[in-house]
Amino acid sequence: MSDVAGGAKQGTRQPAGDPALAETGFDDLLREVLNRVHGVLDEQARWQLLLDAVVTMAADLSLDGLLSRIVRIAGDLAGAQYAALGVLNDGPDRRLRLFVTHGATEEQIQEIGDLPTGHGLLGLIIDRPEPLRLHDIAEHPASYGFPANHPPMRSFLGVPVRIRDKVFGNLYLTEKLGGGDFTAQDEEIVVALAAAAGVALENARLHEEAALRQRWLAATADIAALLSTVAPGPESLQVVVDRARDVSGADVAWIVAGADVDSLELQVVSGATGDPVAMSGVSLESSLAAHVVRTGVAISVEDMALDPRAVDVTGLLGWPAVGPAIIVPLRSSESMEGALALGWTRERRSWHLALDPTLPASFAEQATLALQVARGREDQQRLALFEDRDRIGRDLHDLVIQRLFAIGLSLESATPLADRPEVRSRLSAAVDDLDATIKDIRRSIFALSALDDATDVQAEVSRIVDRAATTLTFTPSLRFEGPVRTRIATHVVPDVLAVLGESLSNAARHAGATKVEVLLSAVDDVRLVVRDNGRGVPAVVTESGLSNMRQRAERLGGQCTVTPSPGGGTTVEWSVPLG
Amino acid sequence: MGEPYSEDMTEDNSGETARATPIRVFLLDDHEIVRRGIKDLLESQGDIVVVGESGSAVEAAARIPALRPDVAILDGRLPDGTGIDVCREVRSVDPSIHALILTSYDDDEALFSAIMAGAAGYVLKQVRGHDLIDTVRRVAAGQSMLDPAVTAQVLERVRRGPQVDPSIQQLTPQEQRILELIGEGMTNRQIGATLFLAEKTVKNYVSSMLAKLGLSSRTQAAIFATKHAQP
Repeated sequence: MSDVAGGAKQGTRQPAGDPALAETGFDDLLREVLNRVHGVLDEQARWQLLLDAVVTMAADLSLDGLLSRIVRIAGDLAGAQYAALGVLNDGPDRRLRLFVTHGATEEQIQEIGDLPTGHGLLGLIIDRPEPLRLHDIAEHPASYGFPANHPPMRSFLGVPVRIRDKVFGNLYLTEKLGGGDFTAQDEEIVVALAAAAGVALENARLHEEAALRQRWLAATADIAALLSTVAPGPESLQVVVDRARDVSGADVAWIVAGADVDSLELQVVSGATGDPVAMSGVSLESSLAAHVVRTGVAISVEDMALDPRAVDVTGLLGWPAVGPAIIVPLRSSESMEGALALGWTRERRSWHLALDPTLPASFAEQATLALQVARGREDQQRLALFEDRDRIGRDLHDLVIQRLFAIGLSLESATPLADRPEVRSRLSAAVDDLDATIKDIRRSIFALSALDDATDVQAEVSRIVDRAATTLTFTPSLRFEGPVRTRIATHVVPDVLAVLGESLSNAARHAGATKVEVLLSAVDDVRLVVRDNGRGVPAVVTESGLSNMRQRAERLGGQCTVTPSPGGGTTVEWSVPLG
Repeated sequence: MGEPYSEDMTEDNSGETARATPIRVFLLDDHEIVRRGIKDLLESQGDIVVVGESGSAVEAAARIPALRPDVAILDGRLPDGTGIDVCREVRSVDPSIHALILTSYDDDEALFSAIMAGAAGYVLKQVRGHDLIDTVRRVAAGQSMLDPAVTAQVLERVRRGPQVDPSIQQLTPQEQRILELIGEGMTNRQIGATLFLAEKTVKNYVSSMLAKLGLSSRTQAAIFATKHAQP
């Protein structure tokens, strides 16, 4: 910087055709030319300088590097002590979003404080993009003065920089070296530079955009492979959100999902610590995510905090405060609705501006497909499990039951052949055992193939009996007789279940039983028998429980008895007519 | 405990079964030891004789009409078909042949199978409880062990379906009509004549209905549950 103001003396010009037209070579060239700035700068040399500048600018493909280079060259070409490039917002307010300076020292910039946003004189060129040359800034009616601690600036040259027909920003040059005004030639050459800069900027922008697009395409392409290694569920969503944040350069990213738009919940977050309990507590009924899920269209907002549709999840959960954000739909054809959100802090809003929302949108689309595939795979595994259970059931049925049945039959037909009565009674007992075993196996087959949410009376009774095992500390035996699912009318089922529950809980709490038998029969009537071997239920308990069970029976035209079992214990017998 | 389901088994067993010639029985079961056990049991009575047996549905369907037994005892599921199909086929040819469906599933499935088969009753594969001998004698005498009221109940339940997935369980109107006629105990031939369909067409309808409603319904329900599982 100071080399411009002070005018460094040394340096040799490099041959113009040098293939490695390095920055140092260029700077030397510049210096040499500027050595003569106190006199009349050779017009020829200035144009040569401009041409060289165009070449080097075109070689620079990083937008940030290019911006500062343009500013410096402009300052040098026009012989300005201070140079700046104000980059316009894309938004409708047309103010400056970026102010790149040259010539002012760090301390000066610090002292000035906030960089200009494009009011006053700077705004004039924004509103009317024409070159403007002034003898003294302060004299212009649009000027409203400098902030305190601002270095003195009088002479002024402003030139808009266009990319195609659109104004990208403005070059502001002040304080012509040597104290005079900027000349028409200065203006001419800066206008030419601005035109060249526009092209270079366009190139750089396209290049950065292409690189960004490339990054997203790569992420979109490999998300499926990435997801194939994790189980479906929160883990896979975490993979998606992490990858999205990584590619987008977002400060925080999160995924909201649910079975439908009314049950959306914050599922995972990247870039902040997600407390699952706190996250599930955030109501998203009227959030941007819900809006995106409803419309299926991506949203880009400049400031989450200012958008009336937004729920400020970051504030609620103590995440980094997010300004600009992009929210894209994450929806599968069935059973899941959701959205992926990317948020940037306000300081990094340029990242948000650079990102075309269609890129994360197609990434999300691809991720959704991959999630669906993963879920399909899991479904297949579940199905395989069901089929396996079915097969086990079939084997029990086709092999085990048949054999037991056949053995029972042959024992039965052998019984009359036995001479000794005790042999006959033993054979008979064995047949009974075989039959009981067959019934148990049949029950197992039923349990194997019954769905967890089946609602028929057999499934429900089985569930209640299984559940009672935890309080009883043993599993009651359970038998069904007759076509219970067919013959027990739907309106009777709740009573059957209630009586069963009551009887089992009495046996567990009061009887101290070690064995309980449950029988549900639909042969001559609907009959529920619960028999335990405990010490009997206290009369008080029996009375209240019994009256309830009896009422249920009588309402259906049946009866309920509680009697001592032979050999100790209690038998509850509840029966109502078949419907 | 508890007699098995049958409305009319309360009478004395030996009541009305005196007949001059022995009861001729055919056995269809793919387990040889089961056939042997049943045969021993039946023939130990003196008035019952097993005139033929097979382990194959196809073979049984061909042999039973030729043998013309009084009672055919048919296992519900066989490696090459179902006892239900065999029963319907045989009775289409000769409605005078009575059949019992033998099954190791539970009563509800057995009842459903017997009705769909047009059989006179069912026997569960358990030694006690269902008196096989008594049932054979009654069926041979032309009694049906199925209570029309219960049959109606089963058909109603079938019509409603297990209420899992309407798209799977729904019967077409034609299937509904055929189901109705099955419930009235009609053979395939009779149903064909009533609805102006070929006997073979009726047979195909019955098979597809069995697939929709029958023993495979649980697996279908499982598939359905899987399809609709939450993420």
